Amino acid sequence: MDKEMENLREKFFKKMASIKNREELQRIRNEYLGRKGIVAQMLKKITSLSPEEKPRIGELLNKIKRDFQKTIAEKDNDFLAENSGKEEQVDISIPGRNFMLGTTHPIELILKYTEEIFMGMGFCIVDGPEIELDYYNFEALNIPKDHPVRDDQDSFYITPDILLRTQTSPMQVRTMESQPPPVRIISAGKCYRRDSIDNTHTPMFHQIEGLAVDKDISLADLKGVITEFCKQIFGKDRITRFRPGYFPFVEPGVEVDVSCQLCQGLGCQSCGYSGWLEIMGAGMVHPNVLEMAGYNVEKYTGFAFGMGAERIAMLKYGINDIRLFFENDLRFLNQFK
Amino acid sequence: MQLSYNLLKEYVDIALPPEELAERLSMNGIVAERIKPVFEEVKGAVVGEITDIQAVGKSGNLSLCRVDIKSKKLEVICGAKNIRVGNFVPVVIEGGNLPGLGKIEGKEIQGVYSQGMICSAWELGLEKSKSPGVLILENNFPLGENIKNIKDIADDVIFDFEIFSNRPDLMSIIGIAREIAAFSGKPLHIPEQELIEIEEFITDYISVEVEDESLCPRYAGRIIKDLQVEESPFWLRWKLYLLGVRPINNIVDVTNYVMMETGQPLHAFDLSLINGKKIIIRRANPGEKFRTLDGVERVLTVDNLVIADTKRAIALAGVMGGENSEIKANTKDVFLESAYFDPINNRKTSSYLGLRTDASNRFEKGIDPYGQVFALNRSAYHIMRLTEGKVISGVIDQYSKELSKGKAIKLNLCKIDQVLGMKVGKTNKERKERVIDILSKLKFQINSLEEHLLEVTPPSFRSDIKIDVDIIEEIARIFGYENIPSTLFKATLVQEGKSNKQKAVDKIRNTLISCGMHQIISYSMINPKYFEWLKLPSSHHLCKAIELANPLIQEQTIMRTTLIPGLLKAMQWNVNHSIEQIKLFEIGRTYFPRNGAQGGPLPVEKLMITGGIAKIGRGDIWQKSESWDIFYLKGILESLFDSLGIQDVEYLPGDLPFFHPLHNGIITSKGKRIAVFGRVGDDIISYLDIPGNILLFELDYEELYPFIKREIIFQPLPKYPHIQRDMAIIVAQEISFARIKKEVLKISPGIKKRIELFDEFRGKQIKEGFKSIAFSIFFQSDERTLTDTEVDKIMENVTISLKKLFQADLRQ
Ligand SMILES: [Zn+2]
Repeated sequence: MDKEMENLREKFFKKMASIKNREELQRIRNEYLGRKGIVAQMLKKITSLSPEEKPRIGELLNKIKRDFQKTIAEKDNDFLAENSGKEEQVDISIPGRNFMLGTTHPIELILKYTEEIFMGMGFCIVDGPEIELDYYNFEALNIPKDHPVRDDQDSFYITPDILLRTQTSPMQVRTMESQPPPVRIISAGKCYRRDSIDNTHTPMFHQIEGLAVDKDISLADLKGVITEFCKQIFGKDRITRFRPGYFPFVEPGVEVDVSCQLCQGLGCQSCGYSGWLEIMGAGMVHPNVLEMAGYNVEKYTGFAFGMGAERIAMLKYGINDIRLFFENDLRFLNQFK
Repeated sequence: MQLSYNLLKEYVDIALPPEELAERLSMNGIVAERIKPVFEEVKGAVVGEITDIQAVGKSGNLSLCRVDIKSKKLEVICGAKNIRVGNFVPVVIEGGNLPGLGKIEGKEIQGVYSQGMICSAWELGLEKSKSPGVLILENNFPLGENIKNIKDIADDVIFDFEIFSNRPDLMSIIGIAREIAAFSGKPLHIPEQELIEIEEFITDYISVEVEDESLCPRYAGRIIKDLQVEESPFWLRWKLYLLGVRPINNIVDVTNYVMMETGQPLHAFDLSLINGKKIIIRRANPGEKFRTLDGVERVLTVDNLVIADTKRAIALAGVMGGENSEIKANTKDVFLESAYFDPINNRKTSSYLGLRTDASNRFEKGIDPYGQVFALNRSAYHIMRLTEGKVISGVIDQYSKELSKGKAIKLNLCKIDQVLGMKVGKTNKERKERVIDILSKLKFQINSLEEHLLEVTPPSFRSDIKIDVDIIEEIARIFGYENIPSTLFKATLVQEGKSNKQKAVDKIRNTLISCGMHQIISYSMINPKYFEWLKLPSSHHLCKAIELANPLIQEQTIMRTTLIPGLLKAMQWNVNHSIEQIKLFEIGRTYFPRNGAQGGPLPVEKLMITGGIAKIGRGDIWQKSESWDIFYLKGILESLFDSLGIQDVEYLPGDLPFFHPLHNGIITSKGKRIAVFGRVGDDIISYLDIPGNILLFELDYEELYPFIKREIIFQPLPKYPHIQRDMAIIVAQEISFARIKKEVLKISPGIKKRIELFDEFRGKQIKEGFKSIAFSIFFQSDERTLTDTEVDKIMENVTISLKKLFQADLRQ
């Protein structure tokens, strides 16, 4: 074995001495150091040696391997140095071949953020039909036919009883009908109103609805949950304000504002000089709604809230025209990486 | 509801400056949408007296006015008809400024140099549309004084309040003043009037018959005779401007002002035009024609309520008066009406006729059913003061026994703490005192029943208060929402945030995005014309779409049954905006009519995933040299299936009419059709005017979902090395790679094989009708290292088998 190793060394260095280029060097590298190369084969033979011999020969062979590697690497460097004058320097300022990243639609981004924030607070996500019964969209929400509020929500009808939902609130009733309290849900999706298209209106938009019903849920809880949401979605420095509002399916009703980031609450054009931006309607679920859904109004209370995803996106990203969301222009979409 | 700071101050003491008042009111639920100083953007306007008027030009529409502004005399050209010598008017001197008009320059008109402009209310920013004439001031105004220095007028601020539809009581000055009084604790001043009646009785002049009490629960009236109809004095006109109401004449102005003051709409009839000394409140006859004050002839139905005399209708109840009984310049005697009409019927009538007025807007929301006589007396008082009219003794006041009286509501004080999540008082006693204090300020009547139980009766003008939580909201409102704490409820639910079906949608979206695609959202409503474009026969199931009964625009009349039209539209949009690399997808619902009654009354909503790619223009530029053909699209789908763990899919030739017949595929899994894909047909592409190819896919999520593998189960890495063999064969073109692959996999089933295509080639070196297919086969065993001889043997069998089945020749 020792003899064999001696021969190996001798032969290797002899060959190395006569090498002329990198191709030849590569051949020698494969011959000696390749996976099935000479050194590898000699290493295999170790298994047949006696236990005393094994470590010694093993170490010697590894030493040979390291020497060969070093010699080859040095030679390779010599070749490279020789050739460096001939190969051209690449222009590393040329752009790479990039992967053209895809993007999430900004409305989807808002829905995802919102869902995640509320899931963190123990809410679960439910989906409901976009084509809805007038009963769920209005009547079960304490909005009978001929209620003046219907004027603000001009609807697309399929039949006199079936319409495109004008809000995600029908999911409040559907959820309560399908499960006993406690309830804590978020339901988001498309809604439709017969509004002519301009820079603040489109006949289709997205709403995000929330509902929590349990024993002992109060207006203070509503304030806490919404304040936390606003901090997470708009930033910790934004202030949330609660003031009375009117929606037939809640009582007391609440309107929620956040402080305007442009003027820091001092008043500017984008907040109508009030320093505040309206972001959602909310309130304590009206007892009539709980009752229609079959809940015991003596035992349970709850809060609900709803907001427009487009409105949130416009405020969060500074978008000034709602139509951009549905034009699907890549110059717009590409900005939401 | 528009009103001003100074107007409010006549009814309640206000300590806060205007901005703070608005802020405070918004925290009570009355939001000022606009706050504007009364003469905002007005510069250089002074009080002038017209000393001479001469017509100029041929048309006779213009006059040259000499205006004395004390320091000098101006020559001003004016187009208004309502000017007389001796009138005091606001005049803006050249170089001044007016809202909407900007800087006012002196200029030559009809050969005369006009040194300024006599202003109308609109030009001063007091009206929203062009005024019919200039603003005539009072003659005691200080001549030459800048109007911004005029006391009690120029320092005013105009608010525009948004009033919630459940609070019609706030659509009046007194209503808002009452709120201010409630939160500030300051006293409310309701004006009192001393009415002097003459010794004649109203019953001798008129009688009233209410035919339908349910639609008109209360009807009150008064008569004033021998009055003079003329322009209102400045103070009344000014108040109306502050309220956003255009002055007409003194009688109409008084009724309008009292409506704005009290919230009770009033109407004045010319008494001499009422036939038969009788007012009849009845339903209209079917098809009855009636010309309203705005000059429009309306055709009525029995659902419309009219005020009539013995011969004809004279007003559309609670909506608008009629031309046939309106107040004219020569009117001497008036009948004043002050009524309470049924809100629902009123709303039906005004929306049926498309006629919304200040009056109908109040009636339909529900006014105070006990405020009629007060408003009537208030109007009579003003008319008496402004004219020489005489007030006839007595009031007509007919009301139904059903007329709603405030109902007592039981209020448990502990519930207040529960709903609000706080203690309203430190002790029970303090809580009770506080609640009683707030409610009495809001004019609620309170009876203490037990320690924690009150009986509360809302005032008649608060028709919105029906149950205990309505009262709790009042307490919260006056207490201030900002004074309620913020708490986070404890999490008691253990339900999972999202279902597996929802999570898989997220995964699909993420995968498509990582394939470089951009998510779009398009309208759910489409134009049925798209089906024609897509060449779908009308019998095709995609054409059986749900129609909107009342579409808004032609482009959106039906609910989409496929996302493809929206996607094509988005692609076209981007092409038109010179974008060359387009990769879009949408995850959205499609809508289908339900077959039969099973599953409920609602249509079926199906989630679809649709994607499309198009490369326009040069394909050879640096970063984007790969070609976007059907295999590129298929690659995206394969990546998607890979990420979802869907393995058994088959790609078969498809038959959709909108795809190119030779680049048209469907994808099935276990016999279920889960997707279609292909290249959009050439004729459609040229119709859309797209200079390139579009490749599309559409996946049906309901069909796809059962095949999605939810859990990842780790497979041990292979212990033994694989052996690779390459193979190139020549076969007839119609032999698909899938068939070849399937046959290869059948041979030596005990050995694992993976097949990778590396080339498909047709052309010169290959004879007509044939193609060359080259692929690698990787052989692998879990039990041992395969030997070369073993693999060579299998390769031989592969060759034989392919030769036999497909007449495949080995390519050398
Ligand atoms: Zn601002």
